[in-house]
Amino acid sequence: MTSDVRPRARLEVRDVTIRYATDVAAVRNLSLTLVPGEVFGLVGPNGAGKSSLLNCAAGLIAPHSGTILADNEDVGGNPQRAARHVVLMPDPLGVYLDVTASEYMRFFSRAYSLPKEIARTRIAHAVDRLGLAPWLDHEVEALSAGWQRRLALTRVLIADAPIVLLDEPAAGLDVSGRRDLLRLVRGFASEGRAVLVTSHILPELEELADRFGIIQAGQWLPMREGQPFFTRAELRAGFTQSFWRLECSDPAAACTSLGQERAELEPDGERIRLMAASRDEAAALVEQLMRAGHKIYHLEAGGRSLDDVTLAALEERPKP
Amino acid sequence: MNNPVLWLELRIRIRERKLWIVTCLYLLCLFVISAISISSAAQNGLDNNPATTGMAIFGYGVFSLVGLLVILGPLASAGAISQEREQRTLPALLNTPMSPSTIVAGKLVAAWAFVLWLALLSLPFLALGVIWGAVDVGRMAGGLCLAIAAGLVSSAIAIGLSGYFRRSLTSYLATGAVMFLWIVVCPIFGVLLLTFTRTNGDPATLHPWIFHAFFYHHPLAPLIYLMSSTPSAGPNALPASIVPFALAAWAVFTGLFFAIACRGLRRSSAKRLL
Repeated sequence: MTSDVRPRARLEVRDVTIRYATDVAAVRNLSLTLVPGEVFGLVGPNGAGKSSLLNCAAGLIAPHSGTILADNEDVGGNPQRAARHVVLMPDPLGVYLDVTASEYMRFFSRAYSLPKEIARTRIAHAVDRLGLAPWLDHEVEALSAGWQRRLALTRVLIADAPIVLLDEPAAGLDVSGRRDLLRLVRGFASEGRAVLVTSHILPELEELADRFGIIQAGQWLPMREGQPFFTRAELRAGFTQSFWRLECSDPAAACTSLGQERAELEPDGERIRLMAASRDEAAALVEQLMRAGHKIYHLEAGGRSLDDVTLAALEERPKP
Repeated sequence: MNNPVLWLELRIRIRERKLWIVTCLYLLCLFVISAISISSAAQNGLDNNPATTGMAIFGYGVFSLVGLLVILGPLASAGAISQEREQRTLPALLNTPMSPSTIVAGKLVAAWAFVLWLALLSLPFLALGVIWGAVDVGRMAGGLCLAIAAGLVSSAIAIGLSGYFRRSLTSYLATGAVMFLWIVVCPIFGVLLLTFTRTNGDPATLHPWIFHAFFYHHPLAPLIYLMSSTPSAGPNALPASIVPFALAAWAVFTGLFFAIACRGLRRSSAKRLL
């Protein structure tokens, strides 16, 4: 069964500030553009403003200043208008526990005023895609956390929303559950939906998202040349500098022959870290070593994990 | 049944064990009241006049009905919206194209459906009054409709406060306080005012505003008129305008608390939402 995803839509957050009743700013002058087919990973410590930003993007919280555009329509503080474009899976999930899985889906198909035939088709598609068939007549309370999350995700397919906001979707899931979720969310993006995900489980987020931003105290942390965002490719390539890990014969001598600026010994003493701005430059260094009589066993692109980058960024710029 | 919230609420409520427990307790109350009415009428030596006994059953029955509905209606609905906040289901509910008024209407009608269910169950007890010739079918239907309308107002009060307050406990307490003010404190203030403004003559004619402000919108006021206007109940001392006035006041109360609930849902801030 195929999905009938609506025309693609982008989400634009422009200079948004969110203030609580206590006048504390949860989010300050934050901007972000989410394009169709993209998965954006929003990273940050507890209380950084991630959930506030998501709730605001879903129209549930009115921004103090700035605008939220979903498919070029201002949805700030208007959940009904936002619901035409945006589906939010909040954390905690907040699914109704005393209904069956089938009733839960039927309720939301009614809430979206779907004609019966379309509702039936979309529910069948969601059940099929999320593997919920065995659980349809079970009360939601009886479902495990993983199945409850899958059930909550049916709202995305029932609403057929082009913009999907997932707040901690992997919380409480086991390893296989997280892997399934990863596949599902990538599936949403491949259908042309724009997906914004927050997560504290950074290895999964690293696999999932195409682009990342780290938020602290309601503001983006500048990462590279003042830019707040970075791509997965940049992360994999070592972020601010490209380097390669090389296994070769006599690594200490190899380091000496290339010079300190070009090579350094890894802490394990077994490998060399080659500093090179491009693949060609790395290949030239390898060739130089081979000419010097070193045997090359293994070469791999080096990089830093999202965990490393996030921790380093947060330590560099501690919370004000 | 086009309202999705009503559809969901009815499904949830019908499965709740407490619905059936409350129903049984309600029927037990009505049964006890009817039994006491019959025995009281018999002991008072009413010359085996069935109409007098029927009137006693109908009178006690219909007043008890209003009393029970005015208490049970809010009890069944005072957590309707605040529980959505507590169980964190509100963000997902609001993240749909449904307007706050649709959500509140669904909650209110679901609460009122509970009142209707209880009113329906009390029909056999009220019908005793008709069977024994004390009241006609129209008067019985009128009494039942007034009770149902009073149940709607009390449910609306509970829903409104449930939408306003974040916590169910606060909402229940506030609902209890408002109902107490309306049902008990308001008439007491009216009596005190009448005591201060005592003059010769009929107080209802001399100070109609006191009666309108403190008595005529009371949930039992139209029923008192209904009972006092029966041929067997003696001369009618109350004006017929009580019923439309009470219904109008109840409509205003319902609208006011409906608006409070909608405003509670619209007033989006992270603190209220989460």
